[in-house]
Amino acid sequence: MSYILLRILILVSIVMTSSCSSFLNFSDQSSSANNALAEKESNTQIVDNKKARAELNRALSAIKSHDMAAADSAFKAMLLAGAQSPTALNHYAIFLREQWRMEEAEAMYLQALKNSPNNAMTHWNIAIFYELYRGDYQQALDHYQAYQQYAASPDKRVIHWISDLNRRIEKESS
Amino acid sequence: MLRSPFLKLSMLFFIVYLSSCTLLGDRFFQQEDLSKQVDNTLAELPKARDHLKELRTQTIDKLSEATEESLLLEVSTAYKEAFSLADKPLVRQEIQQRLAYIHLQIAEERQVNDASLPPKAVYKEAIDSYLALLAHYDQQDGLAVIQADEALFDEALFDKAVFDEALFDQGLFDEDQLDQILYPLAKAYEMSGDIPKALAVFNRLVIEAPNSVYYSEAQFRRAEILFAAADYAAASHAYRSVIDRSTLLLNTSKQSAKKTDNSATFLMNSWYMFGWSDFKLGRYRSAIKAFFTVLDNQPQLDTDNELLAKHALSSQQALTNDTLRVMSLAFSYEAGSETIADMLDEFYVGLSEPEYVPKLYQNLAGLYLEKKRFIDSADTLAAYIYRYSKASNAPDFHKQLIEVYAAGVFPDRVREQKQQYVQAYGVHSEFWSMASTESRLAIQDSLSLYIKELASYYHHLAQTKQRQRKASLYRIERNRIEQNPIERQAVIDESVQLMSEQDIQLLYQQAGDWYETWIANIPSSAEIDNIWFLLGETRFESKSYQLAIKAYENAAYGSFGRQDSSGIDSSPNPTATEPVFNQHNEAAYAALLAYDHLIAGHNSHSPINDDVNASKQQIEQQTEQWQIAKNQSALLFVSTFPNDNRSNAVLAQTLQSLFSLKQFNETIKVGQQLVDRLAIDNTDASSTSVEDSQKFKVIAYLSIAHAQRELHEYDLSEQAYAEVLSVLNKDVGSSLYQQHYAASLENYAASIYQQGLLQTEAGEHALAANNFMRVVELAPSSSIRLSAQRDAIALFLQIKKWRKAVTVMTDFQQRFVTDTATKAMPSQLLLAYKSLEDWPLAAAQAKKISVDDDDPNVRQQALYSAAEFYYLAEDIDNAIDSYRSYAHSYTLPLADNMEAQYRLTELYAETLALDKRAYWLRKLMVTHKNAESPTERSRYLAAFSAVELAETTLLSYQSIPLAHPLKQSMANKRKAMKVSLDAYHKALSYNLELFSTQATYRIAEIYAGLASALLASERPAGLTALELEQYNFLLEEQAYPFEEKAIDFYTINIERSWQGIDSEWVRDSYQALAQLIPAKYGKREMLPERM
Repeated sequence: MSYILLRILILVSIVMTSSCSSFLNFSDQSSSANNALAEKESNTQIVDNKKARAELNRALSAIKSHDMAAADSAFKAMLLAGAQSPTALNHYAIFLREQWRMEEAEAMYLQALKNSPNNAMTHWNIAIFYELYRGDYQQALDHYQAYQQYAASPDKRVIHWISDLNRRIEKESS
Repeated sequence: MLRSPFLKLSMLFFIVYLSSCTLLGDRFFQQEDLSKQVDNTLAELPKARDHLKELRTQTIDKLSEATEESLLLEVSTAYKEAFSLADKPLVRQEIQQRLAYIHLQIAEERQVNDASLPPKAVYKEAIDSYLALLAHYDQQDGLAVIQADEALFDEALFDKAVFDEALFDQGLFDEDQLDQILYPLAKAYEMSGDIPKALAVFNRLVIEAPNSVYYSEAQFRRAEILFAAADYAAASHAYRSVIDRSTLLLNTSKQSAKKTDNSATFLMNSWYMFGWSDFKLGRYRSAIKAFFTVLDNQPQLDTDNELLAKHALSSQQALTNDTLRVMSLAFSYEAGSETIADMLDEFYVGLSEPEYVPKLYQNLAGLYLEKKRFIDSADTLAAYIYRYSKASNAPDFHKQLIEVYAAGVFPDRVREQKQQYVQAYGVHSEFWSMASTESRLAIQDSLSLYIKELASYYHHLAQTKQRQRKASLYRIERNRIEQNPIERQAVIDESVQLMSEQDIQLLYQQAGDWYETWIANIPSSAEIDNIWFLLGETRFESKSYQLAIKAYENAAYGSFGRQDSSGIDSSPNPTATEPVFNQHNEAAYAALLAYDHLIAGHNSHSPINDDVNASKQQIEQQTEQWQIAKNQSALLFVSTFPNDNRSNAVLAQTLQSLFSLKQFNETIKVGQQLVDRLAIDNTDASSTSVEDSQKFKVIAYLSIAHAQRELHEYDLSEQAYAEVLSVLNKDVGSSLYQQHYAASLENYAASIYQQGLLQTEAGEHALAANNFMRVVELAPSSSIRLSAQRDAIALFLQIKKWRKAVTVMTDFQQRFVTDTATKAMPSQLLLAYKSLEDWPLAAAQAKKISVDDDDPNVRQQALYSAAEFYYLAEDIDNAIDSYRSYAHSYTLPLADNMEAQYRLTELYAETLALDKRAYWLRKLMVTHKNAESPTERSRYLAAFSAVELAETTLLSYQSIPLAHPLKQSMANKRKAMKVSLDAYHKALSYNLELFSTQATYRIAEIYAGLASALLASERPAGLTALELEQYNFLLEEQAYPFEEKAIDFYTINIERSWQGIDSEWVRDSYQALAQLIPAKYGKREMLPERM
């Protein structure tokens, strides 16, 4: 019995692995999602000034050059220049998470949401942030659901993730 | 001719003329007679006689005599003719009387014209004429002719002749006729030399005609005759009668009476002679009273004729002098000056005393002196001085008094009186305060003379006594040394007679007091400076040094400090062109010597020293004040007498004093003054010797240097000390060199050193260090060199001049082996080497300390440092050796011990001595485990060691491949896996995040690796496809639990990250999980496009 069960589990995992493999190229997925988001965000996007945009570009270049200090400096300059857009703030938030500066990253996401509460991208990103790097499943769940709400079209994967999170929350609460 | 009217008229004229001539003749008679009588009477008194002669010559009128006698003869003839013609008795008597007068006049003319004629013959006719008249008078009155025998007269008759004022006033006396006869008769007798008959006639006149105008004269003539005959009692009585009559007439205001008896004319002479008479009778008081009357009634000279006035004055003075002289005699026979005083008191009660009173005393004193009665003479003068102490001539009397004592050779009394003179009339006396400027000037010469004599006397006496004493004491001492008891005793016996030192001082003090008096009294004298000097000398000898100083300074500097209390202009005497005193510089120098004695506490009269209750502080303050005053005086000396060859020495001494008084600025100023003087001396080739010049130069520069050092002007003091050394180096080995060089060098070094100290305090450490090193270089033999070098080292270390510090320290270590600083030097050298990053030397130094140092803690620390420095010097072997030695030798403190072990693990890793490294890793874990007080660090190192050891097991485990047959290789692999897992679990047991995440990751990795290895393991050959599929399933079943295990451990790290823990192992765990569970952990943020 256990053997059969084991096999079933293996199969499930294989299926899941195969499904996951379709997501291996995350950037591809995200880029398609981004396309979808782009259409919906166009109405809400806050256009930053030239200075802010220039600083953001400078920060991204620095990241490519693996000059994280310069990147951080540019991001700060960007904020000082008055950057408010979800795009700018999400860039900075992701940079901060990669630098393992979790508190600042969370604050940046929240600032982005404050500026653009309906921004699906931000809800996506902060949901992953809470799930993986904070283990705060409830927050993650909320933001996945918000993503679904604000995204141009709900993501099927997110449906599974929400389901999984609900299960884990239920498990923890029990 | 006589009958003619003209002749009658001429006769009448002659009669009138002769009547008038009677009076003139009276006057002539009176004078000549008196002269003769008194000449005889006063024969024994030359002065009195001379006086009478003068009186006589004084009143002689010069009349023409040549033709007078013939004229008188003609008149006589005419009268005789008239007498023969006259028939009336009264006319005849009148003519007879006229003829008698004419005869008398003729006799007088003859006697004047021819002195060789015998008087009796000359006057015979006149006498006869008067005797005839007298006889006729007596016949008329029924009286017998008077016999010219005085014996017939009874003294009582004189007393019966009473003056009847009424009759005298009316002029109705019989004696009108009688006295007209008796008076000329008496005169004629006297002129003829028949004195007894003259006296007899005078006697009758005063008895029978007491109211006659000739009464007084007659009495006076009587008195003169009697006095000449030494019948002083009768003479006195007669003189007294003249005086009484005169007094009576004066009192009854009969001066205007028709008749006058000329008593006033004889009054003074009568008083005078009355005095003489009583004097002769021994009635001295009565005589003196008479003489007082004479002197008090000297007539006022009232004439326009200068010659006569002079003559009269001379005569009057002669009489006065004579009177005074006889009074002196009288006083001397009485009680001398006491009698003078008594008589004056008696005579002049309520009246002002006569001006001649001083002469009374003076003459009496002179009289005594003539008789060598010096004491009486002096007492007389003293009596005057006592009685008339405020009189302007009192000083003159006192002066005479002194001269009397001097003449009598009474030196003690002379000295005593000179002292009294000064006290009585000096500037501090009441006399002086009351005296006029003229009086003051008058006595100044005497004051000056006496005071100087007194001062000289006491000064000379003191010096003599002092010499005697010194000579005697010297002989005693010499005999004591020569052990000559006999002579010594003799000298001691002699010395008993000597004046004590205290008494000698008193003599000096007395002399000084007199010099002071001299100065006070004669401040304007040209000798004043000399007297100040002598005063200084005496005050010095009497050990009154303060007073000596004042005196010396006044002598030296003129008006400096001089106080004039005399009231007389004290300005320099312009006439005193000749310098009396030329030792001003000696006086000034003597003042300095006196200061020395004063300061040395030799002043026995100091109020401070005498006060036993004076505190030490008070005495010190007083001494300091004296010292200050001395310095001022010394500087004045130098400025006033710059060419005095002692000036340099004075300045040198002053410098030392100024310095001791802490007057540093003044010390520097004076020091420079001395230096300047010496520079001029050198160019001027002065009298200062080379040796002295060098000595003074040394003192000057030393004083300057000392003062500058006290003022913290160390750069300047360094220069001054350098000057001292320069001078001393010119004569190395001299006494001056030996005396000062070493100390000067020390001070020189100290000055430089002090500059360093100041710079150190100011934070100028580089400059300070340089100055300290200058001490080392310029004064290497100075005692402070050690400190300087030591301080230089400290500063070089402080300012990180490591190379310099090493050089100086190395030198110091060699020179001062036993110095305490030397003991600390290794650690300082170590610091320097370390700072220089000269690791080999640093390591060697540390190693040396770890062996040599006395302190075990230092040795321990040094060993650790040595290990570090060896490592830095890339001397790994020695580094390992030192760490190992440390780790084995010093288990405590735990931290250092474990660090050393840790360093060994690192060094062995570098050298790839992995076994040895493993040893020390295990050793670290054991040490931590066994530690009584484990620390976080020890836990860390233990955890580190555990991980490091686990890593080695991981390599072993991973190196084992899973090959066919799988069972066997799997067994080996699992065995190795267990070892590794145990090792990591051991590491986890330390519960340190850093190593826990690593160990957790490694454990996960081991499990994941085994799962992967199983899946990738070699497949048995020859399997069919189905068998191969089944085999693969079997492998997956085998691998799955390990993969789950791996996921669990990775997840542990993920969850740690949620707690804020971050490490590479955490992040790698995310990566690993993203691969193992990509659906869950492979989620990625949406990256927004670039803006």
